[in-house]
Amino acid sequence: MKLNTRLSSLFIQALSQALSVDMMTVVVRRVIPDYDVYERSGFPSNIPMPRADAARHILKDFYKEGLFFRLVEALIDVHSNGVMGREVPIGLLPRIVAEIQDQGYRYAADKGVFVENAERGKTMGWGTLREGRTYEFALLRLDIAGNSALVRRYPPDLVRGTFGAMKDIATRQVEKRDGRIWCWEGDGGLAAFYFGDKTIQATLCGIEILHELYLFNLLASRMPEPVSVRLAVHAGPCRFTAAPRDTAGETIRKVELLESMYTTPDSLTVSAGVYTDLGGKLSRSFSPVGGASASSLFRYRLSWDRQ
Amino acid sequence: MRVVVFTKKPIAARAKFPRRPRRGPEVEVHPLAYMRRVLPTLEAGLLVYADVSGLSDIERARTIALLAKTDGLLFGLIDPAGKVSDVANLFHAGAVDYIGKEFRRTGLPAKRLERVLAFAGARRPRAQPPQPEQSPSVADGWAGVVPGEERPFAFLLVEVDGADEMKRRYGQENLSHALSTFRAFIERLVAQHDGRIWMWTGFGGLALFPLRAAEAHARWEPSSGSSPVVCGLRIALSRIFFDVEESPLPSRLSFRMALSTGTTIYREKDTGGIVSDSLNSIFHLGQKFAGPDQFLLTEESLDLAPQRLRGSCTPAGSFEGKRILKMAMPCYPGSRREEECPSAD
Repeated sequence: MKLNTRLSSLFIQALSQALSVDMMTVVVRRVIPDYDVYERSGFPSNIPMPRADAARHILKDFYKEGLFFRLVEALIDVHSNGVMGREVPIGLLPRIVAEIQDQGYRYAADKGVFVENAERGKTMGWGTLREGRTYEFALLRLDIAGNSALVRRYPPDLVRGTFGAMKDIATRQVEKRDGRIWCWEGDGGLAAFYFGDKTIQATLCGIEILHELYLFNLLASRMPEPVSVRLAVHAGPCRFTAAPRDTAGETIRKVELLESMYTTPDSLTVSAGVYTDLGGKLSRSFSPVGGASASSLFRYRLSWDRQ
Repeated sequence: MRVVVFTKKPIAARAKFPRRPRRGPEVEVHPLAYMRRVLPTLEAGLLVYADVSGLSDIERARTIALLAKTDGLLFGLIDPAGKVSDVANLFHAGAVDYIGKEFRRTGLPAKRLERVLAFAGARRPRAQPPQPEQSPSVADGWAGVVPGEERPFAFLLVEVDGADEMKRRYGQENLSHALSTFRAFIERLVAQHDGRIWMWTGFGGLALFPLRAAEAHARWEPSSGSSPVVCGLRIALSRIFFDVEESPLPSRLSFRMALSTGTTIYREKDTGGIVSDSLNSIFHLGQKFAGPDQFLLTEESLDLAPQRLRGSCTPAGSFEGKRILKMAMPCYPGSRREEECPSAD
């Protein structure tokens, strides 16, 4: 994000009007624990630093280190919850937030972070995740069942068009629920969900993909036979990298295993942890997968009443 | 030029016909077993061949009958083994070509196909019967609906089941919030299919979908994407999302749907005084004949369904002199028709 003059002056004004230099130090140490504005600026520590100068140095340092959003997020927290029982209102904060929003970001209150506004652009990390850090994700794995047989059986154009339509369906549903497609390899892919009730969002997304695929097979597909998918959802910690297709880890391995080993075509399998998060109304649509090795797994399948 | 060939040996046939030939027709090959499903998806006027080699007499007759009853397509037969005894009969059934033993030697040469298409064109009646001129008010969807005028519509009735029980269980205030959420949910999905909620009475309402004059008895075309039948199916498929994400009620909401076609005078307000057989009929069908969690359609309204969806409907008897069909519904644990669903695997 670019730091324009208006945002810079708003920030400096907000900080210097609302906080003493000591209080500024308390707030910024929530982001960089050993931050010392005197040491960083070279200002003599025995002379009180003017508030505006301190605010300007803090802004410069945090912007340079790519931590500007973290700092504003800390200010929002201080503004909302105070510090050590003391209220600390920051008058210009709403204008700072509005200025950031104008630049294509929104504040996700449930996580307390700024994320990119999906209407203006999408990145793998929602514009807020930091490379190399570990976060809790809900992962949705999708695979087109029997894709090799389809490739052998039908002309390449037909197969390519169908798989492309499948990807469009998946992308539309994933992004509708604020998820991101992390990788797609022709016949399937991996999507991540980070915000809100992420396990519920990932699960509903999987269900909606199954429903949309049913309608696609019925109304739009040119394939002589219906296309099927296998879907699985698992949640857990995962290290975020800018190239998520290269990401490996226990959570990704587990969701791939659920999809490939325990999921039948046209169904969605969720792990036990995800199932417990679903709540009564949603979990009723799932049934145990069965079998000794899959006793803690649950499955959703689109089935139809008997005629 | 594009030609579609159905054969029992698609792999061998594909080897014979390159996908993008420099000369000659572009031949798309499909397994014969899928012919019944593929035919309705093909565009009108396309030339289709069925390769009947390796078929028994019965299978061959069925294949010819299926091709003969498919509207809008031109069809021919490939019969390298010369099994068809009366070729003239084939042409009486509507075929435009028959390729016998020479197929092995010649395949499908472009010149032959040109001759076939010329022949098919010559066989068509030259003068089309004059079509009634459509008034713009009928052809333009909602833009052409004029208040006060009678015109054809598809009517989709949606009604929550067990109103009295719900009033007792949830109380008026909770219920009215839930029902307004439900109305917004239905309104959103109906609008996606070019429909509008016209009447709403707390527990349900009636959506209208303007029909073109010819459409009332015409086939639904997949490109339009605005079939009221698909709208009903989409509502049924979306109920899980409504229950989980939108409904404030602790339990799942059960509702029934009914669809019919007919005519009515359209008014935006004061709809209470409209006298219409079609309106009476759809309310009776939905409220008196449909059961909980059911989606019923009159036989005429099935014309508005895509071909592939028609197989999902089964006869459900007759009501007020009309044949009624029942659409298969997605199984939904906790629904009033749960016993009709296959047990979980």
